Amino acid sequence: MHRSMAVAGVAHGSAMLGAAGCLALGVGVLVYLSDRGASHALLIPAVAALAGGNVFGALGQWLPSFVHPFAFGLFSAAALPPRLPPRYGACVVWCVVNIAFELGQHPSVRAPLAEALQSAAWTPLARPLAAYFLRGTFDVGDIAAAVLGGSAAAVLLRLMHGAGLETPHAT
Amino acid sequence: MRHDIGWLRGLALAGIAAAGLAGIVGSGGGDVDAPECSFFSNTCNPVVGPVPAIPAASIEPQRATVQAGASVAFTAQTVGIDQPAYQWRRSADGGNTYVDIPGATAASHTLGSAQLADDAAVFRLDVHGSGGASAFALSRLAVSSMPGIVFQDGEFQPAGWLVAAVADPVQNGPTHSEERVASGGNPNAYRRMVHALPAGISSLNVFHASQAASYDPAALGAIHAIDYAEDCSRLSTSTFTAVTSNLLLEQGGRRYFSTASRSCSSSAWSVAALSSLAAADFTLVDGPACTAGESCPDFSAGAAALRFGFGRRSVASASSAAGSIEHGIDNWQVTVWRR
Repeated sequence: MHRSMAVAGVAHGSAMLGAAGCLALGVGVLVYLSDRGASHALLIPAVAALAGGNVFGALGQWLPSFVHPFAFGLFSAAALPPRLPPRYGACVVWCVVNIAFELGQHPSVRAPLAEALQSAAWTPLARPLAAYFLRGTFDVGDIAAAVLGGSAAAVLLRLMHGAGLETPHAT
Repeated sequence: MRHDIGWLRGLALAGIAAAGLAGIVGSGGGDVDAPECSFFSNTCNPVVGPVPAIPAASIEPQRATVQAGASVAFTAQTVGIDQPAYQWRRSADGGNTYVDIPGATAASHTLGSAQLADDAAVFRLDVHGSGGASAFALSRLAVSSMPGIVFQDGEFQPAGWLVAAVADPVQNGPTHSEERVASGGNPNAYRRMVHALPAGISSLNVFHASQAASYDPAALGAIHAIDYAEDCSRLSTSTFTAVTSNLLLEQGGRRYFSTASRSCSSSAWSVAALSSLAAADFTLVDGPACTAGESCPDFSAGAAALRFGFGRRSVASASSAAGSIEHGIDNWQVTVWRR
């Protein structure tokens, strides 16, 4: 009885985390669809009816960098055991990954990085990655936004844990 | 319970990690430049104009063999590098370390008189652009103390060529035919060939060996490198199957193709060339397998005599309909460089 309730609590909590991540990711996609015209992104189809909306104003410049570690931090947390340390770890990892990719766009490293990727054997993956570093825009604001995104995910996890929205596994 | 769902957690985390990384790369990396093209469209963003190419450099020729005393010119080709600054460098240890060549800062570099000391030298071009873009390219030089021995044929008298083939399947498999045509080559006479392939999976290797192109290392010396050139034309085709052309080398009952090949896909005559081929640049395609420690092929002094020619290879897939490919060769030439 207690065990089944605990499992149900965990599933409910994971679903909430997943939903929150999806919601955040949806906002990020909307930035590309409206403010950036989607033609800037490789994986997002352009929707003419939404393009040029400028819905998010100046915030739209850094919102995707905030949303990505936030959403994927929550997704990863939902897939991890319902304990805070590994879940905080997931937030830190996504924060670091986003910062690393942003640093790869810095003018002092992007050209040699792209060159090294181009000469690597795994060319099918190297080419879009090289293009990302070479054509992307380095922005300190994006790094700050990634830190905030990861931190926000960690805070949300702490709040949910504290509010008892997620019951740990019965052992 | 935990063990039961452990693999599910792992699978979910792997999927999330892949999606997350794809999301970062797929975002394009910022709001100024666009990616090359969206996955959802064949056209690139017209608002931001032409997408800059990824910096790259190449040297023409990538390999070269010359006689000592001859000049050799290396020319740089670059893309995606604005206001390129060049520096040519040279390595005498196979490319481990390089030394700047004084004054060699132009888009081309000419070695006025190649010396034997330049044999096996590797030339490296470093290019740096105004926007921080950079690239490099390599070219290898071989220098022979003697002039190259040239075998060539632009007439293709049938008696001058021996033909053999390996067809798969053997029964009801591909067939081939050859003939000399007096006009329509590049220019005048050429050798016309037809490969007829049945429906479905099949392959055909046709070996055309020149009666006159024989080289005996025991009498003439070890081979340093081989240059090859031919003009190729795909005259007509009734299948989607391609035909490729290779340099053929026969030695000791074995047949070898140059590992590099050229697709004969243009109806116009086009040059297919391979430079500075070493023994390692050939692959055994017919004959007994090589034993451990055996040189296959053997370019050393005292090795068995070699015969040169060309090979034409057609491969059809399971979805291929029955059909034939008509193709031609002209201006066949092999240059053997000795040590």
